[in-house]
This record gives sequence, C-alpha cells and structure tokens, in this order.
Amino acid sequence: MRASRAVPWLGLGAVVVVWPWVANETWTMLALLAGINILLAQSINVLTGYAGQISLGQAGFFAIGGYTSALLMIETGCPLWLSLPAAVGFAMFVGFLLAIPAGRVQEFYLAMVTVAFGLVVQVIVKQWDLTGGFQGLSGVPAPVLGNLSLFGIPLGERGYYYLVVLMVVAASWFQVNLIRSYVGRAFVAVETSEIAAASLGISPGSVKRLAYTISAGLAGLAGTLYAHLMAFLGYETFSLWQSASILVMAVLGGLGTFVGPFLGAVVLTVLPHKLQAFQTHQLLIYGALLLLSYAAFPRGMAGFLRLQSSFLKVRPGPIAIAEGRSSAVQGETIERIEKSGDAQVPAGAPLLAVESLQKSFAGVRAVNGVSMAVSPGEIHGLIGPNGSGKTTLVNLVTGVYRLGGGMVTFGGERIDGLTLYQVARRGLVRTFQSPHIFRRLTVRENVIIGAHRHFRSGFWPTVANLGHAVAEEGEMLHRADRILVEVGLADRAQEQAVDLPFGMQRMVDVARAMMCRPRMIILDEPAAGLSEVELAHLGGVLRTLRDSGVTILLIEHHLDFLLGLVDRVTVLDYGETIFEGTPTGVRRDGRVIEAYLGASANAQS
Amino acid sequence: MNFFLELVTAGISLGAVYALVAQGYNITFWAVRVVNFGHGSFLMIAVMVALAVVNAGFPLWAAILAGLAVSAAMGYVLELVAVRPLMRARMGMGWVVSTLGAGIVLQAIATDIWGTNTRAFPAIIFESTDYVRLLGVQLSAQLLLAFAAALLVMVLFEVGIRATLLGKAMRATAADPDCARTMGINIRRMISLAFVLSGLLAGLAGILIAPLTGIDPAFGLELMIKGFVAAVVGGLGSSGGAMVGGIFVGLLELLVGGYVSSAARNGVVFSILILVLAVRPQGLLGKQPEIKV
Repeated sequence: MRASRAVPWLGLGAVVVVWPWVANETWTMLALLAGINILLAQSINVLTGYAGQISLGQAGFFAIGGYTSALLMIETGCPLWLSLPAAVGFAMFVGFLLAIPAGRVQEFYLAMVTVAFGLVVQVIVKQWDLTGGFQGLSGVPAPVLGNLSLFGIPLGERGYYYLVVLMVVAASWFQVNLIRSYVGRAFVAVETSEIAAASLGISPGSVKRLAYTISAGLAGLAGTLYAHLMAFLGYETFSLWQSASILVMAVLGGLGTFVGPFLGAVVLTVLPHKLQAFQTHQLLIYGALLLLSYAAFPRGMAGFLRLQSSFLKVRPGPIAIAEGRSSAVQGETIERIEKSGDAQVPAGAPLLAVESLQKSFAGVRAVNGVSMAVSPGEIHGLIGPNGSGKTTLVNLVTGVYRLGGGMVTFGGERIDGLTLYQVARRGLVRTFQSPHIFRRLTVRENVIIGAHRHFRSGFWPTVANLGHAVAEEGEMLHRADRILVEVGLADRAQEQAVDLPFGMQRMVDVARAMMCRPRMIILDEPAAGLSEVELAHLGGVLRTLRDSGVTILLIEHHLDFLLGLVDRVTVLDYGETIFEGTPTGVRRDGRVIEAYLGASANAQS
Repeated sequence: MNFFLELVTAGISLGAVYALVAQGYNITFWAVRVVNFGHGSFLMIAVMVALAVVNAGFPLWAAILAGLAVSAAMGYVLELVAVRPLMRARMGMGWVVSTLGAGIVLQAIATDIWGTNTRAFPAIIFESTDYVRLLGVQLSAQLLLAFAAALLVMVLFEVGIRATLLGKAMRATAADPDCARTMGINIRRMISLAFVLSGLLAGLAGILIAPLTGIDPAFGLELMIKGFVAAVVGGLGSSGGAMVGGIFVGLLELLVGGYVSSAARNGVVFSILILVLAVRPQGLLGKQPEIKV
C-alpha cells in the first residue's frame, strides 16, 4: 500500500484507539453502539448484499446471541471467552436450521419465514421465566456492574470498548477474505442467477444456508456484545421494528459494499441521538428509506464513493499475451484428464447415453422417446427445427427438468434424478441459450467461478487467508488467464463482464465452462448472434477443446457452422429422433430435409 | 364439548378472514410473483379511515366504502412506487424491502394522526353483544358475519376470475405475460388491477375483523403474518389453498389458545410457517413449479 493511501487509514485507526480516552461518556457509549450496529448491518450485507437473500428477523438472532451468553454466564458461571463463542455458535446453528428449506423454495418464502422466526423468538423471550419474561433479564455481567472479566482480567468500560473494536475488526477481516474467495464469488453467482451458478457445480441451497449461517453468527455476536454492554435484556428490544432498523442501516449504507455497513451503522447510531427531529419521525424516515432507497440508490451511501470491489484474493495485473496461444489451453486440459477424478468410460462405450427419454408439459409431448449416444472425445451435433425438443432434451439430461421416463447415463453412471449442480460436479457442464453473465464481476472473476468445484481449501483456511488457500487462488487465476488468452478476452480481463458486447459475453460463458474442467460440455446455440469472425474463432476454440479430450454436444441452428465441426449429428423433430449419423449423411437424409423444408421441397440444402 | 364447538366455529370464522388476507397475496403473486410485505398496514389504514369517517358523522356503510376505496387506491400506488421501479431494474428481492418500507411509512402516518391507543370499531349490522344459538353453542353474530362475508367474497372472486373476460385476461397475464401482451392484453393495467384488488381484500379483511379486536396502528402486523401462514400452508397461488390454510390457522390458533395457553397461540401459528416450508414448501394444495430456463 502506498504511503499516501495509508495515511487516512492510520488516522482513522488512531482515532478509534484514543476514542475512549478523549470522548465523554455519551460519545463512548455511541461508539460502542455503533460497533454493535456495524456487526448487525454486516450481517444483512453478507446475506442480502452478496448472496441476494433476505432476513426480516435479524432481531431474532440478535436476541439469541444476547440471551445465550447472558444466561450461560448467569446460570452456569461460564466465562466470557467461552460464552461468547457458544452464543455465536448457537445463533449460527439456528440460522442454519431456519435456512434448511432454502434449496427448494423461492427467496421470499424465507423472508416470510424470517418474519415469523423473529416474532417467535420475541414471544419466547417474553413468556419464558428463564429469559426474565415481561420484566426482562437483569444482572447480565457487564462493565457497568463491574462483574465482567476476560481471561481473569476485569473488563472496565474502556477494556470492553477495545473488545468490541477487536470483534468488529476481526469480523470485517473475515468478511473481506470470505468475499474475495471462491465462497464469496459463489454468493454473488447465486445472487445473479441460481441456475447459472448450479450449472457450474455450485449448490444454491448450500450457498444460501451458508449465507444465513454466517449472517446469524454476525447478528449473534452483536447480540452478545450488546447484552454485556447493557447489563439488561428486555423483550421490547427484539421486535420486528428492530429487524427493520437493521435492514435500514444496511440498505442506507450500501448493500454489497465493504464500507456500506460502517457508513449506515455510524450515521444511524449518531443521527437519532443527536437530532431531535430525526428521533420523533424515526418510523417515517426508516420506512421511507426502505421504500425508496432500494430503487433510487441501490448501493446506498457507499454507491456515491464509486468504489470497485474485488472478488479475488490476489490482485492480478494485465495478462501477458506472449504466452503461447492455443498450446496453453491444450496443455491445460490434457493435464485435467490426468488429474480429474471424474468418471472414465471403458473403450467403445458412450460417454453420455440417453435412452427413450420422455417429457410432457401439460399434455404436450416435448420429448417423446429420444435415444442418443455421445462417444468420448467427439463433437456431437444436435439439430432440429424450432420446438423439436433440443433444449428440453438438454434440460432433462442436466437435471433442470425431472424426467417423464427413460434414463440418462454419464460415464457409466445413472445421472437422471440428479439436480443441475450435481450433474455439473460429475464433469458435465452446460451453457444456456442467452449468456448468463454474473453482474458486478469482472470478466476474469466470471471465468474463475467456473473452477468452483475444484477448490480444495476448506472454509476456515479460506476466510483466514492461510497460505495454501491464497496459493490455490493464485493457481486458479493463472488457469483463468490462460483460458482468457485462448478465447481472445485477455485484454478485457479487468472489465465488468456485463459491459461487454454480446459476442464477447458468449465467449465468457464458454470460457467459464472450460474453466470447470469438464469431461463434457453442452453448448446450447453458442453461435446465435455471433459475427462471421467471432464464429470462426469459436469454431477454433471448440476444436482445440475437443483435441484436448473434452467431449462436446453442440446444439445449433447455424448448420454450416455445425456440420463443419461435428463428428456425428443427431436430428430431432417433434420430440423424436429422426436421424443419427455423420454430417455428410444428414444432408442427404429425406426425413431431415422434410422436417426442415417441408414435404414438397426439393432435396437440397 | 360446547367449549370445543365454540372454539371450532370461531376458529373457522376467523380463518375465513385470514383466507381473505391470503387471497390478497395470491392475486399479486399471480400477476408479478410479488407479495406485499406491507399488507398489514393496508388492513389497518382501511379500518382507521373508516373509523374516522364514522366519527365525522357519516353512516357506517359509507365509512366502510371509504375505507375500502382508500385501501384499493393504496394498492394502486404501491405498485407504482414500490414494485414497478424494482421490476424494471430487475432487483431480485428489492420489492420485499420496498413493500415493507411502505407498510412502515403507513404505520408511521397512522401513529402520527391517530396515536397508538387501541380504539373500538363499531359493530357491523349486528350488535357486538348479539349471539346466535346453534346446536347449543353460542356463536357471536359478528364473527358469523365475518365468516359469511369472507366466504361470499372468496366465491365471488373465484367466479369472477373464471367466468368474466377480465378474469380470463388476469389469468392469462399470470400464466404468460409475454403471450398475453401479444393477445392485446394491457399487462400494466392487469398488474395495477391485481394490486388494487389485493388492497381491496386487505381492507375488507381489516373491516370484518376490527369490530372484534379494536384497532391500533400495529393492528395489521399479526394478521399479515397469519395471512402468510395461511397462504403457505394452503400453497401460495391457490385460492382453495388460501381458504383451507386460513381455516387451518384460525382453528389452530383458537384451539391452542383454548386448551394450551393463550400466550402460546401466536408462537405456535408462526412456527407452523417455518415447519411447513421445511417439510412441504408447495403447501397442501399448491403445485411444485417447474423452472423455466
């Protein structure tokens, strides 16, 4: 870091350190509350700002953290160093339980669940004798009571202040590392498009559960710190209104940014306290902020700073294009086959076998008994007129749709019944008709997401930035760069992928699928909307890919492009296979010509 | 036994009102897959406005019409301010935040004008002390009225959406907006209409229940969440499900309140929501949707 950039940070750090020695009691208290509110705003930021989920029940986790630590200390004499992690852990556990349906239901169902959850927690706290019921829980060990200590050292008010600062710093560090890792990128991927994330082997359900678990942990930590600051817990604190206020802090500060929670929490801690008008109209102001700010300034206050957030652990520079072009990827994918644990098939057996596949939509037979075999190492074409069932077939094979009948084997293993991300994890990766670009990510970050299923570093080494996790990230980045060179996007690596023209977005999609190191790629109309130059380039990339051992199923309307590439071709019409054979055979086949041109047309294409 | 029957009939009656709330979610869910998280405040404002009109000396029927008109208008404005801009910007879950915000704003305004005290709402048609004796069970006439009115509205609604051209246009919009547009249906108007109807149902539910409970600015919250539970238990998007879910919630609430403890009843009802989503997210009558790619 350059000295000029470090100065403001050092200055801020110094202010934070000397604060309790220069500020009066009120301002020290405000700083403590701001610290707790930062954690609360962060808990929403991780969940909503990055993973795109929502919670209207953060007060519930806030309460669980507070009461757990307080009761452990009061009832069992448990020391703070133990009760604090226990409280955070319990809040995380509850967050995980609550998010169990996350993989199966749309997001807003969980919004409803969290509303209900927050209210249930409040009811319990209000009714239960253990939590003090109506009267509240008093006598929580706290600096004001002089009965709080950490590792035997009595914690005074200044000591407690530093504990809170430490916790905020630690939690923030943890979050930065998390966001700049494959986990954080998976969050953003799920936020943009669950189906695109799943097509790369990311389990949207697991990502959401993890996001809820982390979010609950942060809110639980805030609750614990709050309990031992106040020495008293009353049920009124943990209302739906509190949950809404937490949401306001995160939204006002700026969702999906690092500084947002700090800005939102500090402003909304200090303002109500210092501005009488703000206090009297708090409900109205908070409501209006929620109502309008999401549409008016979605990145909140932080949005005005125009910061570009990174989702990579290491800061990459521009790519040196000097590296040998096609040999780079070739070496790359050959290395893959040796290393990958994906299923291998015996010689002569097809890699992907589809047998009498059936699928109906509301009585319409979209796919009616299709069989198809794709041999390893070939480019296999799948064509047919519009509505002949090509995309439905792909959706059946990759687990997007449930089968109406038939079976699918990949590498000798039955894969029907698996979901999209499970199919991808077995090395069968697909793209979609329209490019699914993850917004907010650069081209390079978009591509590296493809490697998600190959990251071996565990969660904790990743968030603690341990050496091997950083090294792994560097390796993956190197691979991503080589693929970017291959597909011709090297000079665009640092740009926001959504800003690229359509043809390049398509290449990002293909590059990402390559990054997944698949056994087989299914490309759904990759040539649509490409120029002749781009088309030729795509053809070259696909050939190189095939030569390196990746099997390709290519769905395409552009027949000249397709027939020039493929080794074999399957033709569908009205959900049935009408031809399977070589590209030369297909041009002469009567049924194919009839399907494309109608019965009376002349036999030429 | 009588106690039990009383709880059951009261539970069913209350449940019918919850069904109205749930149906309010269904309508907007069909149109744009949005559920109004400020619905509770819509219920409350409708009742508050009606009460203000009554207190100004107008007859009750006029007051009720005024309340319903206001809640319908709020539905229209909500779509314009809190839903449409976010749909256009494709902000996934933004509408949860914005509709919640709208609810809080309305609650703030109500608190400003009417204060936080609970106020009584006049009984409709019958006196609040009127009872009907049926098979030896005493039934509150007010509660039976709520049941009958809610049931009538649900049936009318179902007939309207199936038999009228407008209803068919709405269903077409719900099924496939792009296709509906090419058929000459004004999608935007259909979406606005959905929010107007949703607001109307909110107002109706509020006014039917207010004579029994009284009214304060936070009055709608509990009803809103019980409506969530009803909608999810029945299967969001299903009218029959709203009815079944609503009655289930009403029964559960009163039986738990009557036999276990009145303190536990809300906790149990809200927990059911969490449980149902974990076990059977499509609800009792809902269908598991197939994703479109």
